[in-house]
Amino acid sequence: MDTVQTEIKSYATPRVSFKEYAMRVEAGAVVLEDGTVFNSANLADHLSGSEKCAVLAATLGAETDAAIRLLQYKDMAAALAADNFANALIEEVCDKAEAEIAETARKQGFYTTTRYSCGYGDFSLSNQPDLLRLTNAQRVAGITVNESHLLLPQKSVTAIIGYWK
Amino acid sequence: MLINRLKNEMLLFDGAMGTMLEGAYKSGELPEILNITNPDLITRIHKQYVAAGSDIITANTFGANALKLKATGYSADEIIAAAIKNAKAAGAPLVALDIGPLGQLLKPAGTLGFENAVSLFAEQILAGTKHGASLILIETMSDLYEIKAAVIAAKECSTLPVIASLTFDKNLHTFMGCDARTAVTFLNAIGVDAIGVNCCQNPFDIAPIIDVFTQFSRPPVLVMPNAGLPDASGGYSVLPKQFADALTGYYKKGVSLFGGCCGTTPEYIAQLKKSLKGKKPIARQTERITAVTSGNRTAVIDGKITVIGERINPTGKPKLKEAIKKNDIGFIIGEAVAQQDAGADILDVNCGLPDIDEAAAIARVTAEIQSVVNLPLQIDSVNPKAIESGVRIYNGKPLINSVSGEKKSMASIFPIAKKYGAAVIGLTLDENGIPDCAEQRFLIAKRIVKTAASYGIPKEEILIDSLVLTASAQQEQVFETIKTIRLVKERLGVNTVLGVSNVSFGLPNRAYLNSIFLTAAMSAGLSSAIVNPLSEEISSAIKAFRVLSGSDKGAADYIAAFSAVSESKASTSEAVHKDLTALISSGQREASKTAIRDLLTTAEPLVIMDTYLIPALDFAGKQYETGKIYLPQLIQAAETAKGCFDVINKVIKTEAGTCKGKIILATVKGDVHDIGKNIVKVLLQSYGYEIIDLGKDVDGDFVASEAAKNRARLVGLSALMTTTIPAMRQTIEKIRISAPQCKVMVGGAVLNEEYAKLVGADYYAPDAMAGVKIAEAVLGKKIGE
Repeated sequence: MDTVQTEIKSYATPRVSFKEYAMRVEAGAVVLEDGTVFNSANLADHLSGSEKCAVLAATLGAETDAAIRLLQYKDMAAALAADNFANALIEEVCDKAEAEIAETARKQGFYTTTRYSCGYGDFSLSNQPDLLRLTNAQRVAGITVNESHLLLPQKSVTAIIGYWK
Repeated sequence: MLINRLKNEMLLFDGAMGTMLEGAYKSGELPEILNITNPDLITRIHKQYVAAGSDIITANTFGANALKLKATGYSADEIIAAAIKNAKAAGAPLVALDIGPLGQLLKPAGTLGFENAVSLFAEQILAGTKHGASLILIETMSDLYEIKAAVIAAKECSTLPVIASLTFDKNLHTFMGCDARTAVTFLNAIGVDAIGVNCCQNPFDIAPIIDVFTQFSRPPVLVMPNAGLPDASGGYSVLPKQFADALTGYYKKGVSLFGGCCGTTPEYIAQLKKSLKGKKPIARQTERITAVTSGNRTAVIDGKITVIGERINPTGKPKLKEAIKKNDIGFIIGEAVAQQDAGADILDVNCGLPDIDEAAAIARVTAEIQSVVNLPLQIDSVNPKAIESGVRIYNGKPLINSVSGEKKSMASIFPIAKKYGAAVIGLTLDENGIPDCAEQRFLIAKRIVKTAASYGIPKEEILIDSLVLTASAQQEQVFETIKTIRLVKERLGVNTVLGVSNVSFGLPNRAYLNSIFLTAAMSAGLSSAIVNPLSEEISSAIKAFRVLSGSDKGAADYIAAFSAVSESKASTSEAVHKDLTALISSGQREASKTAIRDLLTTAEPLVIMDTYLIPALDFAGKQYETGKIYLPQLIQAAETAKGCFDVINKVIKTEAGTCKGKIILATVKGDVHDIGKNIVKVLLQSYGYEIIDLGKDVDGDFVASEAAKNRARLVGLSALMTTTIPAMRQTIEKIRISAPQCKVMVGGAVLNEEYAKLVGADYYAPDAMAGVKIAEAVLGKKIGE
């Protein structure tokens, strides 16, 4: 187990990109200052009372996927452990980013909501391309989305965090 | 000619169109649309860069590919036509067709196919060429494979000069994990007119990249970095003067092409123009090395004896033959992984079988191996069509095995090597066969090297194979081969390679003969050897030679390899024959195999399976279902049982072996999350089912046709995302038509009983054990049921 963790850590290249946008909640939707509209009642609920938000994209990078792929041909049990560890690791990366965002918000006099990702409730996965664009994630972190709205590299996360007073 | 200007002049590109356009278009729109909706704005920006002193204006076409333009209603051709017109209207001295990444990752990291990528780039390049671009700038790339697709498209659609530029992260690798030397080795071979580094964190931290590029690059080097990364308010931290100073530093290292990326307004370019005024390019000494690459790794052939693994070649290997025919990719990748673990530096890939489409097979096998193993590959065939098919799909700079001194061979192989950027093995035989003496073989080697040069392939891209004849049939020839190595090394200064194992053909104790012959060849200066890296004699001989020749400094690798040997042997012999059930359910692989071997001396193989193995697995399965053990332990038990099956299979000579029936597994189109499917595979294999694993992101038609071809009675499909469930339904519909006999089970995180019905599946497998029970219900628990 320890060697699996060390191996995944050695391949992981965590990259994070986030950007703040002013926003407002409308009936069943969230509208960002740049005109982006997220049609999701659940997201609107989550962000009700927020005036700003941070859009976040994070990844462990393509080499983590490759390491897990290779491990599956050597030791499937270790690969499963590695896959789970990578899932935990990307959560940890997001937690850190979230803490940084909370600090940035606090300096501006805001509290923050928890992070909300697409795939939760009615916040559809089809919003992934917008979330990547809003964070410039391909250029800054190498994150892409395919036609099935799958984030690639696989160990990648996007999320929105609300700022409220 | 622009190509000569690129070689001999200092040329200045422009700065960041994206930065200049910020706020000028609606969020979610592509900035390339402005070429049509607001041409004056685009031309005005170009004009500012022309005024700042840019020699080359990059047209606003970075994302103008059909994938990104899909929702806009514009074609790549329309956007590119307008963009080039706008640049020309600004009085641009030269206009570059700007090509950025397509926006989706290529397989295996993503789902975009290589040939799709080539077509998308071809559309852009045809448009750029038609509408009057002066050159093609492929930039901000992270993936060598994507660059390869773009360069191939350029070679096939245009004669314009091509520049390829990558972006590197702060760890000095690209997002895809490619280092600078791998990039430059690949780009030197595939042949671009300049190589570059652009974007990146800032202009300062890329110094080590520039060092590698200027040390190894045959063509001129371009540097075009960001003015730092934007802060939260969008400001860039590097000032124009700092930017210009950093780039002037790179000029001193031999960079001759310059420009700016994100954040570089015309002010930066003007400052740069001022700093570089009156300067002429500085001549560089390029270091010439022999090397091949995968997508993110280089193998340098430099005298340390490069090990080329020979095992992926069906000649004399019935199991591999079957695997290639049946498309059993798992088995082939297993061979690749085992050779990598045994220390191979390069892997030979050969799919030469009489009754198959070799070109299709080698492309498929190459693509699958490179999706798991990152060693450089050697594409091996006697059929030039198969060679081309393999090197085309290959990610990186491959080694071609081989060309001979025959005119026809050289005329068909060298153009392939040149187009796709490959190193080539040259065999010292020609129309008259293999010469008896070393001098004659040397003359053929010389001719091969000279002919390669006439195709623009320098001698460091050639490895000479002076041909190993069998000691049993042509004993007097054995040392002629060794002599030729010496001649080629001393007189031609060219690297050498040998297919060692042939020497012992027809004689007993082959590994021993092979290793002695290899040792003689290494002493004569052999650079690389095509061998079985899993052979203890061979790998010991190589490790020992590396110590004696001084390339294994302080014998560190040798000590690391051999000091552990005695221990591991001891632990196997100490293995206690515990109850097999306990051994399997606790995942003790070696001890279980030893126990099986002992059992085989007293019991029938099939009896061992039914009375020991399957009950042991069932026991582990029950423990898993009742929460006493967890998935990793269940998988370990399954892998242990699988190892036992392999032992039993070796003694069963019947056609059917221990196989209980064929099951096809696939992760559906659009989805790449396949670990769940792979766990099901291990479990089913451990129960003795034969699995044909079609992989991930698999086209529905392919699943259906494989089900029909193999007369499979069960197909398992997995999908992780809600968005790929439609693909599951379509796949099942196709299976119903092509293979009506076949049952379908489905599984994956988003599925449940209800969804499974909805997509038309026969069975829903909530976990891997359920998959086993379904297989038992459909195919039976015992052999032949």
